[in-house]
Amino acid sequence: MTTAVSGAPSAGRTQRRPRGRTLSRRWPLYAAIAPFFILFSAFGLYPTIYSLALSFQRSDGLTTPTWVGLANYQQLLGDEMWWQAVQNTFIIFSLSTFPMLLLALIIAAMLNANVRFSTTFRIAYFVPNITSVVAMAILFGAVFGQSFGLVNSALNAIGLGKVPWLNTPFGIQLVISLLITYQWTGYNAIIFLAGMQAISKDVYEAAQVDGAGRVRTFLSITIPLLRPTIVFVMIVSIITGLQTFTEAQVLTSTGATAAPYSGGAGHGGLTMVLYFYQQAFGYNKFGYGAAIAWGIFLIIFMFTMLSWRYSRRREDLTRR
Amino acid sequence: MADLVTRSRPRRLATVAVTSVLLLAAAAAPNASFGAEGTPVDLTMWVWPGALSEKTLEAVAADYTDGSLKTSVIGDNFKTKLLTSFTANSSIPDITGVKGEDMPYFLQKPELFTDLNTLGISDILSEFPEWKLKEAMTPDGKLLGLPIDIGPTGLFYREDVLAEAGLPTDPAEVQAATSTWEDYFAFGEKLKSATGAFLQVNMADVFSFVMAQYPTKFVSADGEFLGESPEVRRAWDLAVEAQQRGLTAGLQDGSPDWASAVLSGTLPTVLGASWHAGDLKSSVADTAGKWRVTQMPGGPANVGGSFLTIPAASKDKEAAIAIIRELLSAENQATMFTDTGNFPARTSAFEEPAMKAPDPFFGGQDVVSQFALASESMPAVYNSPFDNVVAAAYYSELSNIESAGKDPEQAWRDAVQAASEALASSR
Repeated sequence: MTTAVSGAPSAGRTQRRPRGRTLSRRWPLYAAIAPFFILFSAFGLYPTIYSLALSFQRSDGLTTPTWVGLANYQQLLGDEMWWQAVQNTFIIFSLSTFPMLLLALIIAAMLNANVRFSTTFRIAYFVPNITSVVAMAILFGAVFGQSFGLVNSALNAIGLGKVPWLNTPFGIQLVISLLITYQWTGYNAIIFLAGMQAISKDVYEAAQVDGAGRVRTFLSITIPLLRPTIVFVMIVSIITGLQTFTEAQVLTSTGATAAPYSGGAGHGGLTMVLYFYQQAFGYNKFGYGAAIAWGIFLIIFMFTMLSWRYSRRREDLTRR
Repeated sequence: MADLVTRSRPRRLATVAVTSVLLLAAAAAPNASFGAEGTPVDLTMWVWPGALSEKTLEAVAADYTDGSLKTSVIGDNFKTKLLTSFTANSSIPDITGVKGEDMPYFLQKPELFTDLNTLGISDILSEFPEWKLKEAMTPDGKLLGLPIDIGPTGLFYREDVLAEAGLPTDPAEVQAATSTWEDYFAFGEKLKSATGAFLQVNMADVFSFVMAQYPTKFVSADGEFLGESPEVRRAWDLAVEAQQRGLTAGLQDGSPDWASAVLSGTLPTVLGASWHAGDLKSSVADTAGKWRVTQMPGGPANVGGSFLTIPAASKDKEAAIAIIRELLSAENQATMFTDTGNFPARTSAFEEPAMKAPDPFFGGQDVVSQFALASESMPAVYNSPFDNVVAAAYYSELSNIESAGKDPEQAWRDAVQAASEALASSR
């Protein structure tokens, strides 16, 4: 890095300038970028390395930790609850992300059309994103209540039975997915909208001249040209969607008598991060918690790489 | 705008991230030096919201004139924050609260705290229940904390609903009719056939309160697995029986559904610790005056109740114990009961006028003497730091029976196996 910074501009005249002089001349540059690297080392890099070391130990956070090698990872591979958490996370992720992105695209397209009060609409769609997740989760808990929830009252009014939303595993997963969809659709729509507005008007005019209708224009022009934005939104959704925590924790938090952070009925709401939280901060198993955190990292990393490479390949094909 | 947006996304994990970082990145820092003789010593105290009366906290801080007393009211993750300060050996408070459920965990490292027996408190010890003091005592007799409050349990019930069902409504009569779990279930069947109401919120609730009555839990003091003991089995069987006899509502405790059921009278009987009265008052305020309390079926149990401790790193232990003495005076304990609903640990507080005031929520019943009575015959229990992790397996399988119709015997076998594995991997 030093060579890259110091070498480039002075390459022509004096090739072997003494190092110290370069540093003394360029220190303001280093000083300017230093805050980020100092903060990152203290609050990003160090904890990351520490948690890796911690994942090879058995530590309750209080008494002296013992080195256990790969035992935590071995335990993780055979831990049924962990695999259930992985499964739950992917179910919630699928139930929320795909409808959410589709909805966001449609909303963005509608906002991109010349509608009145479009700023008002944008704000309205964005508001759920800046509302407290905890507040929304509590509200959803009340709305989806079994006996007296708003949704069941509505179902009852049209002659349908009561659905035990928060007392069955799939019901919990569905409500969490709805909550995530509600929260993030507007956010993604705004990003899509920004991508759409970057598409040149000329292309649309050309399509109009060729006689393409609205749907055809959307499918053949907007979607292909929006691909980089879609890939970005997809990857961000994977990274955040697989880390779902607050929604699950608040919706399934039980009274003082039962087990803490267990994800509600049948562990339906036990996501990967909630399981990490349960083990590390509920049961003081910090070493195992660190191993879970690295397991989560690996899964998200693999999944992100997979979808990134897939979308890249598709992009190359369209270019050819 | 875009910047603001991208920043708001990781906030869902912010709490976890921040606490992890604080915990993991905690570097060793030198302790604050001791105040020399005669110079003012500024003390810090950590408590959580609702631990003590705010009036008391202010008054005690004003009374401390040798320096300043700064009280930090720390919201969620109290234990994690305290652990972080211990790990970092920095910013350790001079006095701190420790929740009852966290005491078994901190008892694993008693050297972090001061043995209060060394600070001359023998004159007041007899005013605290022995069973509660034992919760903060090491095997060799060091006392790490003085109890702030206790959580003796009782049976809360709706007088109006029981009357409608033609059942007794007077606390003494209800107690006589529900003195054992079997009697209680029979009582529940009458209640159900008359009004359709449920007796218990869910199976986990029955299981946890029966377990709370036993002196042993899931792990013995020697670290032995007790998950197959007759006690655990009986708690399990009673939970299964309650469900099979149709007495459990199968609701999530404390959820909006629970509140609706309690409000509408479909759940007119609630087991809970003394502090549960506060939950009832806040979630079903409209039912004020219709509630009564009596003894819990099968005998008393304790759920919750916290301690004040002096960390070993405290700058002035003599001043700290003087402050604790004042915070826990009989008068201040009574104020705490009035302001927060926490039930005083100090028995002399029961004589205070504030404790004798009739409670309109309970139709003027003398609630205090019900809980005081429960406290008198309370068994001393051993809580292991591994109880929670082992117990989780049983709650998980009870929820499988309740929500997925799993066979109770199969669920029991799976629970025992998962529980013993959880214990083996925790040590």
